[in-house]
Amino acid sequence: MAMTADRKHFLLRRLHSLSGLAPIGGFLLFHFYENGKVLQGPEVWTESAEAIAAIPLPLLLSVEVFVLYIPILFHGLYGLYIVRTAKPNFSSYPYMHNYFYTLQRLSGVLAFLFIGFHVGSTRLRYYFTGAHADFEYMQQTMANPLLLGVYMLGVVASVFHFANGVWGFSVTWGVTVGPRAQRVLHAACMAVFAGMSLLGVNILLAFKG
Amino acid sequence: MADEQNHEQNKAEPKNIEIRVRRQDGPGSEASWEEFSLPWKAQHNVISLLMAIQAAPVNAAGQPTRPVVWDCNCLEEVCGACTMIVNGRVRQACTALADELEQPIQLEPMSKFPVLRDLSVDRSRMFEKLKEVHAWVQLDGSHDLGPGPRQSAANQEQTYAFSRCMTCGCCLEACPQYNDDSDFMGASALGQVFLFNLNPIGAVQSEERLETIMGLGGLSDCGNAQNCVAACPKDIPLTKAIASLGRDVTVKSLRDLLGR
Repeated sequence: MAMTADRKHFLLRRLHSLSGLAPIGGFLLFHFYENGKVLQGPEVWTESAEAIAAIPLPLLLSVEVFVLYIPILFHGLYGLYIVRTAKPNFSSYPYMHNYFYTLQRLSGVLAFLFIGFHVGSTRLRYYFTGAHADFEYMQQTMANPLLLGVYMLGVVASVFHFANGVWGFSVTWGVTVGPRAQRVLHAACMAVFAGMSLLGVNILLAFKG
Repeated sequence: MADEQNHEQNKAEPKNIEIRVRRQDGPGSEASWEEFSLPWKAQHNVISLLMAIQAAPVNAAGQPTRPVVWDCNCLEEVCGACTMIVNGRVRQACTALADELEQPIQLEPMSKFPVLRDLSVDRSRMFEKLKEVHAWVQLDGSHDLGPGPRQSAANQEQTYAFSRCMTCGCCLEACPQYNDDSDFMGASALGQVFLFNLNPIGAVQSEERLETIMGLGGLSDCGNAQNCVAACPKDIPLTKAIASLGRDVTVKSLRDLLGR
């Protein structure tokens, strides 16, 4: 049974699933931890941001490219292909997980667009203009109601996609097999979604000042 | 006695049963709706309504029409032949009781299979998938092999649910991942892989079966919408089978990778 071409499909799917958890999900948690420092005051945040900016450029850039940009591009583009094969039908079959199935795809597309905008307006802006996304810049961004809205939607969509994705990951890889285990994990993931959304919105409002 | 009759009449309120059928003369021809109105009768189900239409094929406007074509066989929800969409939801027509349905009762063929005529569809795609995933126990001859291995009670209990699958197609009809844009084989074939991999003799071919579901359209095309388990008329724990196979292929791919 020669199935090398097919095995590639399987491995791509599993790589898609894994990349969402690590490195992307892992970075999301780190990103929340880093930016959460703004809740302790702008100075604490600035100090931490400057410590990261002090990392030698070749190291920082290669981490960004290989740990973040490439995995996110792969996860996002392959995700768009997966979205294309979906035919949502929650109006005929209004079951809880069917809504989550559609929300997972919707939040994924929103998150991908948001991350593109976010990276473009912070990191790429720095690489092209040399201007750091410092506290003042973030404060100006959040002072714009439209951009604040975009950030809130983007953060909530990303956090939902991550939390619900952890559940999907554990089903796909066979970590939670039985319905009870899946139910308990789903409740836990939704608690993480609620908690991280609340934290995320608070961080955005803290930048606004 | 007279009281009782009165009561029966009051409760029954002899009125008509309104039915809308999505009709299509053949594969590729255009579909249209046709209304029927039949006198109320106790204990009608969708099949007996279709039989009544067949006996006197006249539509609600009083015009003679072609009798509606449908499939049915066992009439006790174990064969899956009469699977269709009743009031927007996929189910078996034989256990769809007219008194429990909102009117007009809307009947459509399943949308995920090619329509042959009216409510009759070609489900052979499902049977082809069963062949692809090797959904049987293989014996290599007709000679006497002696008694097979004993199955534990726990194993029997786990596999019995999956042996009730009638390949009706409800899980595929409800699945958002099973469509023309995707090669996904759907939950029914995966459930049978789970069943035969747990069978003491079938387990001999479990690696081959796992191999078939690691291909294009296999297990990894599942989107975890979990509609299959909600739509299954036989309450087969399909999502448990899918997650369990997910664990099996995780282990298998690691073993294959490290054992090479």
